[in-house]
Parts: sequence; C-alpha cells; structure tokens
Amino acid sequence: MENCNKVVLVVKASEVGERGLLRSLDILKQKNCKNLSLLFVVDHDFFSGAGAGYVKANKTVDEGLEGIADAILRKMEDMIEEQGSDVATERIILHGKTIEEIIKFVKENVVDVLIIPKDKRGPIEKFITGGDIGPFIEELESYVKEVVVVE
Amino acid sequence: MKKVLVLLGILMFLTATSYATSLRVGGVIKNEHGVPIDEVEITILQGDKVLAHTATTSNGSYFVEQHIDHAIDSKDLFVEVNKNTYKTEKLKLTDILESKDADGDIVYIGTKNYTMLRTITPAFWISLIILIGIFVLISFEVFHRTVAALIGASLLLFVSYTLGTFDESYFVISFEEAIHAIDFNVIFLLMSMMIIVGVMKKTGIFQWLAYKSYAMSKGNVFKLSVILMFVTAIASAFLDNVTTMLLLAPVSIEIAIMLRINPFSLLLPEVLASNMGGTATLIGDPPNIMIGSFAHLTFNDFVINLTPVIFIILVVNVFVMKFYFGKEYKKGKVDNVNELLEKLKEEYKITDAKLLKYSLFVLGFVILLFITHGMLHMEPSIAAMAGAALILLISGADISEIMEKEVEWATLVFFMMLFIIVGAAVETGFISMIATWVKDLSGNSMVLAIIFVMWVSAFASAIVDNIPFTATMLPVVAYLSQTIPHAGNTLWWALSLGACLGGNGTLIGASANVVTAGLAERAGYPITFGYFLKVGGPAMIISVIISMVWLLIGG
Repeated sequence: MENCNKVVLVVKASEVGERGLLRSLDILKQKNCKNLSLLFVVDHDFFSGAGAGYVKANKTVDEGLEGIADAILRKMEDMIEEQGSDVATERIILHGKTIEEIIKFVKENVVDVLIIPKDKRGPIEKFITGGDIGPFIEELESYVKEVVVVE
Repeated sequence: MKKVLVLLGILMFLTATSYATSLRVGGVIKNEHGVPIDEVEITILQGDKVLAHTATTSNGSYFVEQHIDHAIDSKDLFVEVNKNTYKTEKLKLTDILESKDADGDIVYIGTKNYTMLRTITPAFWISLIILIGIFVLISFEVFHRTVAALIGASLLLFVSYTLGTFDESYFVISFEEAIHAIDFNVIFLLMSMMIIVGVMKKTGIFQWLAYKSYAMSKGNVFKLSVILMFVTAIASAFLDNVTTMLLLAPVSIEIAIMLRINPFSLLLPEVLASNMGGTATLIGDPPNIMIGSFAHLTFNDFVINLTPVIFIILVVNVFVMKFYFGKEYKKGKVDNVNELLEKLKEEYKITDAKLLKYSLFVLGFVILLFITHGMLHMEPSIAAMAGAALILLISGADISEIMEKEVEWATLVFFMMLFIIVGAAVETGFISMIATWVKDLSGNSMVLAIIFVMWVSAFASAIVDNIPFTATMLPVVAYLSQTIPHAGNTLWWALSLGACLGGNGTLIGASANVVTAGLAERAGYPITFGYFLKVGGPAMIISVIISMVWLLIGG
C-alpha cells in the first residue's frame, strides 16, 4: 500500500547520480512507493568567464541544457529498467537558478523525500559554477519530511 | 615740413629693418625607445626671453619660424622642451646657420633633435596602481571585468581633469589621448563577428556538426574525440571560442551520457582544441585581433605563420588526450549505434536550411575579404562589417534581437576601457619601463626574447585574463621587435602563441574553459581546478614547447 506523496530525486549523470538513483529505489521499496519523480533544473547561471559575468540567458544555451536533461533522465529511466524495478517515473524539468527552483518546488508540492546527489567540489569550482546546494539543506528540511544527501 | 619728411624717412627705415631677421628652428623629439613624442611644448628662448612657442606633432617633429625685430645673439639661443611625465630640459642651440633669404633678410636656422627622459610623477603611480588594480579585480572576479575596466578608465580621466588641472604632475591622460588609444578596428571586428555568429547560431549548424562527427566515427569513441577536436578547432579559428563550446559541449555531454562514459573524455580535448584553434587565425581569439591590428599583421600572415604549428600541436595533443582518456574511450558502449544515430539526427538537424545557405555564403565572402584585406590595404574590421551588414540584410534577422542578445556590448566596452587604461600606462612611462627591463633581460638575443615573451605570456595567460595581458604587452613587444636585430614579426608570433595557448593551462585560463565547466557541472560532472590542471597543464606546456621550437627554427 502506498505510504507517500512524492519521492523526488534531483538527477545527475555521474556516479554520484547513479548512487542517488539506487538510494531512491531503496527508499521507495522501504516506503512501499511506486512513483519516483526525476527532477532537473535548467540553470544557465554559471560564469561566462568574463570576470563575475554570467552566461547570458539565451535560447541556445537552454536548449543545450535541455538536451543534457533529456539524456540524464533517459539514463535514469534505463537504469531503473536494468534494475528490474517496476517503479513509474515522472520527469520534472524546471528553469531557473538551481536552489531557488528546488525550494520553490518543495514549497508548492508535498514532498516526502528529496534525494540530492552531491558532488565533491572545491572552492574554486563552487565559485565558478555556482549551484551549490550544501548551504540550503537546512532550509529544504523545513519543507520536506526527509532530505537525503548522497555523496 | 623738412623735419616731418626726415622723421618719416627714419620711421620707414626702422620699419624696413625691424623685420630684417628671422629665426627658424626645427627638430624631432623622441623618447628613449626612439618613439616620437607628440604634444611636447617647445619654447624658443634667447637667454630668459621667450621668442616663440610651438608643440610637436604626432611624428614628434616641430618647426617654428619667428620674425625678430631686434638683433639676435646666436650664442644665447635655447630650446626648452616640456611635457608631463618627462624631464623638462633647456637645450642650447648650437651650430646655428646664418643665411640670407631672397629679400636679403638675415635668417638664423637651427636644428635641435632630442631624446627626452622620463620622470616619475604622481601620474605614473596613479596609472600603475590602476593598471595593476584592474588585473587583480578581474583575476579574482571581484567585479564584472567591464565594471572593473570602466572604474579604472573613468578614474584616470577624472583625476586628470580634477587634480591634474591644478597640478600638471597629476595629469595622466587627456580625453583626446584616451580616445586615440582605443583601437576601433578591434572593436568593430569583434562586434561584426558577434553579429555573424549570432545569426549563424540560429541554423543549428554547430549541433549538427557534433552529430555528424558521431556519424563519421561509427561508434568508435576515440575517433569521435579526434573528429570533435578538429571540428572544434576549425570552428574556433573563425568564431569565438566561448560560443563554439556553448554550442558543441552540450551535444558532447549528451553523447557521452548515452555512451555511458565520463564526458570529460570528450569535453576536455574539445575545449583544449578550441583554444588551440583560436590561435590559428587573426580572428580566432581576441589577443590575435589585438596583435594583428597593433602590428598591422594580415589574416594571411597569421595563417602562414601560425596555422601550420597549430596543426602540429593539435595532432600531438590527440595522443596526449589518448594517454589521459584511452581507458574511458574503450568503455564507451552503444548497443545500437544506428538507433543512437537516428536519435541524434532527429534532435540535431539543421533548423533553417535557407538561413544556413545565406550564412555560409556570407562567411565565405568575409573569409575571402580577410584573405585579400592585406592587398587591399583594408582593415580586417571592414571585411567583418561588410559581412555583418550583408547577413542582416539577406537573412531578415531581427536587428533589435541581434543587437540586444548577440552583441556582447559589455565585452566591447571592456575592450574600450582597457585600451584607455593601457594607453595611460604608455603615456606615463610605465610600459616603457617594462619594455626596457625586458630588453635588458634579453639583451640583443632573439632566442632569449622569444623564450621570455612566449613563456611569460603562457604562464600569465593561464592565470590572468589574456586580453589585458596582451594589451599591456603590445607596446613592449613593439619595442623589442624594433630594437632586436632581425626580429621581424617573430616576437608577435611568440606573444600570440603564448597568450592564446596559455589559456589551456588552468580552468580559469580561458573563458571557454569556464563555460565548459559550468555546463559539465550542470550534468553532474564538475571539472575541478586540480583535474583541469592535471590535463590542461601538460597539454599547455607541450604546446608551448612545440611553438617555441617552431619559432626558434625559423618557422
């Protein structure tokens, strides 16, 4: 019997993303849930290299990121199939700054579990690429029943 | 009546003799590097009495002709030279020639050439602090580089016209000198290429090229990486590196994810190739545009001198990348290559074939103009402007949208302000100081000069933005090229190769590296500074070694 509202995985293509997916499947099994929401944020808000200048919002960059999103989501769906799981997936693609959009999403939706794969990044990388979710875990926990960080 | 006539006679005699003497003085004033100095105040003195004033022209020359109504003691004539940031000197006029003109009037002719020496003034320190400050602000990404440059340029002019009004030693640069320092050939060339690329982007050609690369590789990942490297390098040779990576990198990431390999194995070779390809032509990278404009080097000069060595560097780096990513390439597996191919073909098709035709026609036309611009004595910006105007006309693209979204006005303003800041450093003598120091280090040795310019440029570009670095080095290399025997254009190639290839050294070495890192991070693959250094550092060093050998053997 289903015992959950939404279980949401913030997807990444890397090994940590794969671990995040496997963890999600474990959680779904424990909670006896059959639906997994796969979330990706199209966030072009990274440095353009022009000295604290950000990449200009433009259709081409967003289309590129949407292509990446599609590839990652397909990978996750293929992996679920390979695991022999019968979990149904839902794709959620948001546009905007990563953390802002995720917070907005969890405020507007009832999310039981939010799984966040977290890369190891040094200070230079965090500064250049932004999107670091680490400082916002506490805030997310105020909206979500359970936040699981996978490293 | 008789008395009146005598008086009149005396008056006429005096009038006739009052313009019987002329003084003509001329010469050329240069600085210690032999560069003519304009706007030097020239005062001709007899003892302490001022006879005439003038100023030098843009070629450092001056000439004054003054009618003197009294006798001149030619042994007591001086020329005083005065300009801010130079030592004021009172120079005795020697070897004065006394002659008579056609009317029988006496003419004194003197020549005084002089090399003025610099003096350290508050203006020197102000321009130095601002130049270094800009480098720091940009390197540490405290502000947007345009903001940093605008602050610097406006401060220089503000100080000149406030403190400098009351005390000349604080006058750094005049508004006219500031405008003169801006290289509008660079500005218009950049703007026009942004317009051309902005229109071309809409056709989907770049993404299609990435799909085609995969099709040609027939599922072999190493082959794919090599093809992508060359496609990226060629695109970057004509279009800006950042746009090339913003368009190609997402497709490469997508292909890597589908192949279940780490995207670094495709992205890093691509971005390194992008910086290499941009080095190959006049228009491939902003430092080359600046060098070409300053040194009057043509598109063909760059192709003849740099394209061959860049090709060699690319080939060598294919093997360097195989060393790093060989295992990853072998991992790539696609169960059904044709299915993936069909999917990519559908996703990355040409979205506007008609626009593509127009764009390719215009690009071809512009490249033809670039090839011939030297023969036509035409600035390359004119070729680009013609192309931009033509592509807007025939494509029907929305000019407002293009101007708003595709032209990087912030970048253009950055360049303009940067030229002013470097111009001020030239005016106050700081750049001369660096040039003299570099010359002393290298002596008259061409070998040492090549090594010094290339490696300093490479390491500096790996750390700081190569655009302000190149702008600062332009007058330095100009001086070295003039003073080192048989230098020719070799040192310009050294600067170009060092400044452009150096960008491959670190993650922050080039804008293309930074945007690629941003895209990779969004996919879940952050490129760390250390990882990039591990791959890019050796690739950069190998590239610069090849370049150095190329120039030393006379390539």
